[in-house]
Amino acid sequence: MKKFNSILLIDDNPAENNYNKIVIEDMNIADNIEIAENGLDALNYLNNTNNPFPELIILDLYIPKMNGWEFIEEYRKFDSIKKSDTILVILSNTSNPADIKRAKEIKEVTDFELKPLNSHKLNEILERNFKK
Amino acid sequence: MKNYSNSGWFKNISISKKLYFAIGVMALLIAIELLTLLFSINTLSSVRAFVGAEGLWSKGQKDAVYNLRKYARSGHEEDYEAFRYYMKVPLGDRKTRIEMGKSNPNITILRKGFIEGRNHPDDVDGMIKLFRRFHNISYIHDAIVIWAQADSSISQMQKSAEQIHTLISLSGISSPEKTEENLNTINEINKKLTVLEDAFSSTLGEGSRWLENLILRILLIIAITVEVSGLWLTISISRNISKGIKEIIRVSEEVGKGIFKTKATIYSGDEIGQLASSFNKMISDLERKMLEKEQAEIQIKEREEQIKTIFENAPEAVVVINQQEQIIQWNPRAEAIFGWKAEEVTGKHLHEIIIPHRFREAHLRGFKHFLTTHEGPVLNKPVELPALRKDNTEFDAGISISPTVFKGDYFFIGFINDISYRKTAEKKLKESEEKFYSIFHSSSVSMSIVRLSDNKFIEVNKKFIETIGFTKEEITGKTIAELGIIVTLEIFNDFLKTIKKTGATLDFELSLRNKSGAIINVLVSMTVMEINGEKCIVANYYDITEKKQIEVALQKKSEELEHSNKELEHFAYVASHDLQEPLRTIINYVGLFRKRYIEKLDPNSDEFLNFISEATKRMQTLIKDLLDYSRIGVEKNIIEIDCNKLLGLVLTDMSITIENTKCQIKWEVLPVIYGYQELRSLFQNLISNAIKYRKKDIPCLISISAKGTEKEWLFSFKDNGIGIDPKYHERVFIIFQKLHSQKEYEGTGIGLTQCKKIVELHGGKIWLESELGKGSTFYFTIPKTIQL
Repeated sequence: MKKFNSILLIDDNPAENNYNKIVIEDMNIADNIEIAENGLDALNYLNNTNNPFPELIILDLYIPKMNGWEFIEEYRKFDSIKKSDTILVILSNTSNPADIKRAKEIKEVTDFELKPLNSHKLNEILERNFKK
Repeated sequence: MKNYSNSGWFKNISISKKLYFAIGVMALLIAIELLTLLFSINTLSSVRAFVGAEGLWSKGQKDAVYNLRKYARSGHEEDYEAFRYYMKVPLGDRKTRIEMGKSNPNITILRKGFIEGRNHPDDVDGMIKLFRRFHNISYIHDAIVIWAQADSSISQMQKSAEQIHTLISLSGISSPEKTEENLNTINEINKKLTVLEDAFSSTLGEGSRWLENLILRILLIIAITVEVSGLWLTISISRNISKGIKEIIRVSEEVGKGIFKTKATIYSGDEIGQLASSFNKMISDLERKMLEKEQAEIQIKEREEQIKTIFENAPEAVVVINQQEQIIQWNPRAEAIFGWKAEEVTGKHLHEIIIPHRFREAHLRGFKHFLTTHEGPVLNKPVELPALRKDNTEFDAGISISPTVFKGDYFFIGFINDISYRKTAEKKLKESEEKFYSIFHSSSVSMSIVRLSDNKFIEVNKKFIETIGFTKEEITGKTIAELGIIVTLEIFNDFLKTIKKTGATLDFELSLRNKSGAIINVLVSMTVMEINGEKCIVANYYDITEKKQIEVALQKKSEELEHSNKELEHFAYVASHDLQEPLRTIINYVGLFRKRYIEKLDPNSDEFLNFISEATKRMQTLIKDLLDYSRIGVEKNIIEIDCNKLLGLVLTDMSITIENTKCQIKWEVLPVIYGYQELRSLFQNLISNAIKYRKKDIPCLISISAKGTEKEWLFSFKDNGIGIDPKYHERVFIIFQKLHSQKEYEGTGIGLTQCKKIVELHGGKIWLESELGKGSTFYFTIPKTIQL
């Protein structure tokens, strides 16, 4: 099983974040799990060079201050070398086909999953993206 | 004809040349025959000369022998001289023979030799020719050989004679034994010569007989050739001529019978051939002329028929009278108008038939006046006069009469019409115009009449005056432009152009400005009409100023509504997101809680946790269904849907449920229709409802069918389930309305509401037929053409 150095969870709901954190901890696949409540916080975290650049980012779309789409726009500006080991997964409630379509058209978005997160879904994400 | 084909050139030369040719051939053949004859005569004559020469030769030789003998006895020199004299004949002939043997003989020597042989000089040339020409012929050749043998004997004889002469000259006739011995030698030679002479004669004789035979045969052959070719030429030429003439005779007989199609076959290019070809040309010309004549006759006939048809079908009565005022033509229309048949009136005086009594005298006066002065005030122009029918009733007749002169006599052609209906029509028209004006003036819609030629107002109604604000006097006589009541004059002028072309326009919008400057929106309809003999535009102006204002308001409202709908849609998405999140958190944490702490709690707590998560899940389903409901019709794409395939997909999705409940689903072949993708949810909802509300004690059976009418498809989903009491039929389609408790049948109560929305989205209807306990049938219709 792949073990990540760091996973970044971006969601405005602390209960959601906490739950997702427990699911990941139970799977024991990460050394470090970081939580950001909006896009802006997440961006600040990523911009701080003291922090390790996460290998997995789990992003909710509809969040305050800077929403998911806006965050993706900013994230795209990061150096591609920096991003080379990172995958970005959207975890959302939306089943709006327009959102799914939009997500698929963005190169940086690796996967799209519907809430709630569970070990099964996470395993599938890992299977799809870290097969080796 | 084939017989002549190989002598084509001969066929095509003139007859005189043919005859000259025939005579020439004959003459040539006769000349050949004559030449042959001449040659034969010459040759035979030469043979005869040779026979004669042989005679002379023999005689000379015999006389020489005789004189030699005489000399041998007498010793007289004269006798020897005589011997020598006679010997000249064979010796002369011998000279000729020897010269003849040379390759290039000298003619003079040849002649001299024969003349010495005492031949007649006239015969000599012929003999030489015969000798030279025929020396290879066996008879002549043999004769020459015999002649040469004879000549050698003559030489011996000469030698013996010289010996005798020498002996006698030296010693006289002293030794008779010696002489006798010599004479014996001569006798021997003589005997031999006699044999040779006979042989020569007979050989030559045979030769001459052979020649005679030969010549006779040649002459016979030539004679036969002359006869045959003469005959052949005659037959050939005469047949040729007669064949051509017979052909011409044959064709002329055909032409005589009136058949022009046959043509004389041209067998030759001679005078007969030329005659045939001229004859053929003559027939063609004749045929063409006959055809032309026939056609001309047909045309004349057609014209006659045309005139007759025109006369009989003329829409007016055509009546012709002669100088005596008697009727001579009376067409069917005249019969119809006046009621008199043609045979009843022909020959009668016109005035007795159609002129009312009170005008008869005046008519006759006028008629006579014309005949004397050629002045007719009612002629050559249309006049309206009363006329009389057979039943003595009068009517208004439109009459025009033309006098015409034919072979010195006057005829009068009259065209007569019953115009009483026109009078009625005129009256009706007047009434109708009056009616029109009455409506025009009392109309509650503004109306105007404008002259088409100069665009000037002729008439306006009260409502128009009210609306525009000008007085009638200010309006009439002015053009629309002069009055200045049209705001957009260019558009109006375009409409005027259109109406002048098409005769009418309907409901175009126009802005008018009234006298006080207020803008009035009107719908204008215009029609071109003839009023008092003038083309006019009748226009009515329907005031839509108020309507226009309402329209604008409506448009604004509709836009607002659309905007609010869009907001509502967005709200539904956001709401679903925000509403789902707390529920998910509850479920997540209930799960987590149960996992971590269940063992540390009271046994009842598991049940409580179940209630919490079940309620939460139901809330999630409710929200999801509500969201789905709100989303129906958002994607506005009409697609082609094969309902068989669609049903297949739905049944695949539901395969587990169907298997578990052992439901049997039957369907007829379903149509391919046009519709929205939501039809899938419709099918799914109806089938899952039928399964959900099945009877537990009997096997569940669902049948699906569809049939097309002219405008729509009617689908039916029939089940044998628990059924619905008719009093609830309306309620089942209302959102969140459930007929059963959550415990009995799970569900949000939104499925049929969704169905209703989907069907209505297509412009169709949904309803059901059911009774409690007797199963249900859901019907819905989908129009074949969907209005967006």
